[in-house]
Amino acid sequence: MSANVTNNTVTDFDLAQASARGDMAAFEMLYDRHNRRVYSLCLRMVSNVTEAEDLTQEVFVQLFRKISSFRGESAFTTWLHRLTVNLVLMHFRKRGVRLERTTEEGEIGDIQDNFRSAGERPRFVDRIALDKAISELPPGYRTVFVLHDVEGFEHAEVADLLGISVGTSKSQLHKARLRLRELLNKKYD
Amino acid sequence: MECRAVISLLSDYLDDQEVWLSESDVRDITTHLGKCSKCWNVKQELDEIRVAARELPLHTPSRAVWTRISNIVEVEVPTSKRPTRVEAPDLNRWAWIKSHKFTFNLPQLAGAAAVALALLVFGVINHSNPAENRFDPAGATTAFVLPDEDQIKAELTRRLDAINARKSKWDPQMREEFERHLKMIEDSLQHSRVLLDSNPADKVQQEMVLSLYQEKRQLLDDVERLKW
Repeated sequence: MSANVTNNTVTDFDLAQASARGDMAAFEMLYDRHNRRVYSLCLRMVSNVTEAEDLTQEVFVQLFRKISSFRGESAFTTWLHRLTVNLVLMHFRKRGVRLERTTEEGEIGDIQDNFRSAGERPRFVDRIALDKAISELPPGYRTVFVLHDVEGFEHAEVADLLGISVGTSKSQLHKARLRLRELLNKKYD
Repeated sequence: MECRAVISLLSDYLDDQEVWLSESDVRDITTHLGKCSKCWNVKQELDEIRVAARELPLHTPSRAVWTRISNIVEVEVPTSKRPTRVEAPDLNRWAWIKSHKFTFNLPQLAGAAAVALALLVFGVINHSNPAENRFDPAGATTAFVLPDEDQIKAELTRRLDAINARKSKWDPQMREEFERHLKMIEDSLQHSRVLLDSNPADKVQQEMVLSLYQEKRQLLDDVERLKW
């Protein structure tokens, strides 16, 4: 396998199979392809570089141990994605991080105060500022926002992962977005 | 529809409005947004947050993360699958000889041993200068010591003693894997030593013994690097 591998020609499935046979070069190639996505997800969920690196390490070690069970029925990225999220959530449980529970209604807050006229409005979202604002969200809002808006999970999937109702997932997402809007607006005040 | 109600439904409106909202709600919200610049502004900003979230840059972990990962998983690769670190083509020949020796029954053992010895002699002839063959029949049973071998053995013994002192605290699976690999190296080393002692001029066996010391050193390096 190693002799024939070039980075762009070989599929994740092939690399996974080679890794399962003990080919470390193939496993390193998998790492090179996916480490940033895994790390970014961990970092946005835990907002701490050291914890995120530890979690990334744990993800890939677990990936190596389980890689022979990957049969290719789903995309490798989907499989890895789920593994990452599960490990982060397990990490939260071990640390006793409580994700906020709110009613489906929740409070909306005084939105009207954060008004800027549409005609004057520059581009509202600076991606770096958004990344920072995400790190300032409470853990529960942050988790739902990262899973749904950043990582693309549907509400049904988020609810299943977190053990909450779809209604709660939607409510927390909305509150997370409103909170981010407040944080980003403060930047421009 | 009032502003408060519209704002509370904006995320549903922006995401899958066909799924989460009735047609009349969608109509009412759209109508309101057309007349209310404040709510329209909020909707635009929430939408930008949604879109920007999908385009956030990826972050890169430090290189140390991969080093730690590879240190952990390399030890878990079964030794039969692990590529040899040291170029030792003669190790394959030795493995062939060893495996075939064990298939011989007693009456055939002498013949098999003769075949094995013939192969070794052939290997010696191919690899060494005949003039350098100084086989001393009188010294055939004396242990032949390679240069620096005593220091190598002393160093490896000291390091192994330190590892053995803390091995009881290891994960049982890791301990078993370590002991299995160590035994393989030590069995091979012992056998090569016997062959070398019977023919100290055999350069093939000299290289074999040194390679096996290096293999043992690599194993102890791995354990010490992982701080087990």
